[in-house]
Amino acid sequence: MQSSAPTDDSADVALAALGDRRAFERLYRTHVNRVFSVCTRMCGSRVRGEELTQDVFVRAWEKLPQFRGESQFSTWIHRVAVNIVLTDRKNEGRARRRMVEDESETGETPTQRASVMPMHGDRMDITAAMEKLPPGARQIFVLHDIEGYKHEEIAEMCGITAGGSKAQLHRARLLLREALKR
Amino acid sequence: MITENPMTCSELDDLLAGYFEEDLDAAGRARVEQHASTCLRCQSLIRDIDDVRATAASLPDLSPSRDLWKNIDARIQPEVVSIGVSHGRGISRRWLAAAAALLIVASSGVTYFATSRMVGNAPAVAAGGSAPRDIRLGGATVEAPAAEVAVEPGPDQTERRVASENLNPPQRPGGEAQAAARGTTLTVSRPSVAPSASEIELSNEIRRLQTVLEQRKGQLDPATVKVVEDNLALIDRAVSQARAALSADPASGFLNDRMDDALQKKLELLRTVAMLPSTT
Repeated sequence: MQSSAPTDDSADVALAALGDRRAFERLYRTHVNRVFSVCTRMCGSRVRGEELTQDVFVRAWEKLPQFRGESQFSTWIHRVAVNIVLTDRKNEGRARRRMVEDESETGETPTQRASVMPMHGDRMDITAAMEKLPPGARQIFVLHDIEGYKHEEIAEMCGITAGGSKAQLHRARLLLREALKR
Repeated sequence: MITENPMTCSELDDLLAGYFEEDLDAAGRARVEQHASTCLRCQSLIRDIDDVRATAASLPDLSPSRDLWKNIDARIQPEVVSIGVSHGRGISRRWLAAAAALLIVASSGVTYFATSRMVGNAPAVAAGGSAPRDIRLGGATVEAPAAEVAVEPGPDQTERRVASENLNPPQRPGGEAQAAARGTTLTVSRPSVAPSASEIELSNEIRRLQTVLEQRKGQLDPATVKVVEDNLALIDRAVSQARAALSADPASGFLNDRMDDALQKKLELLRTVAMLPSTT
């Protein structure tokens, strides 16, 4: 997983777990960019990424009293974010009553397509190319190649096999290569 | 001499995922690398995928286009104060009922006092000889002796009140009315509510931890101390509100629960602070 600078959140985590909203706001300020990044990259839309980021922090607030400190808060909230995005995708899938598999769809809404992130050089290219990946392949690419999860972890989170995760990842890399060569 | 190069580009494609995931054994990797060393197409493919991986791993964090905190703050429920007036969420019906009951009790006492003065009983001077002062109930101002008006303690008085209740025996029922009838004093206060055993235990533990907090203040980050003190003040307010409401409705399970909740929160906060690492 991409490692951010280690922060000592323990005091704010303890206070926030007791209901201190200012302590929770400090946690928000510390971690919002990382949470927003994973949400946005996994769902392929900045607009939706902002909505999901809010959901993540609301969920974290609700679940914080159960956080036992067995991992870093940053790791914990990152996992909350991944789960929120995956659940959102499942719900979205149900709502649309999709009958086709990820492989044959892009899963993009007009809003998502319109929200290409303004970046520069290769990064702009790969970011734009990632948005055009099939959702399943994009999520696994983000989780593995950007966020650093192992295939076994991804398999558990996504409800697939580790082999399926590897296959999706390889497919995503090949698709990105093709997109970047154009 | 015959050079063995059995791998085709198609075969390499099939092995490529395993190659990058390090699922191939040493012989398999060697075959892939040997083929790539002589095939521009496969060499380019491996290099490009390596580039994609490296670029992805170095992507910086993104920032939202706006501050999302306001929306989040609006969605999260206040946890510290679970009774009475909460932040922007209005007043619960039960709390209003309790407050109304308290107002009735206090108003009755004041009325009794005023009536007893008008009929010419002995002057209503508090035992301590304090000058009368105003008390405000629901916006109305009523003159009353100062020393014994106890409608709602301030935050800093809460634990002292609990402590004094722990130490003092319960007052006799009707004692205040008898005193008022004698014209020697007046008490516009809540009826005596004997603290429960758990409340006494909580209060004792809270006092011990507050001593620890005082001793540790210098070792903690000032910002953390400020947050802790703000939270304690908030909880104290909740405790005093619950106590005032309980005086009007001592049998209320809801109010007793809220009182216990507030004291528990205070205890948890103090315990947490006692375990915080020092900044020095």
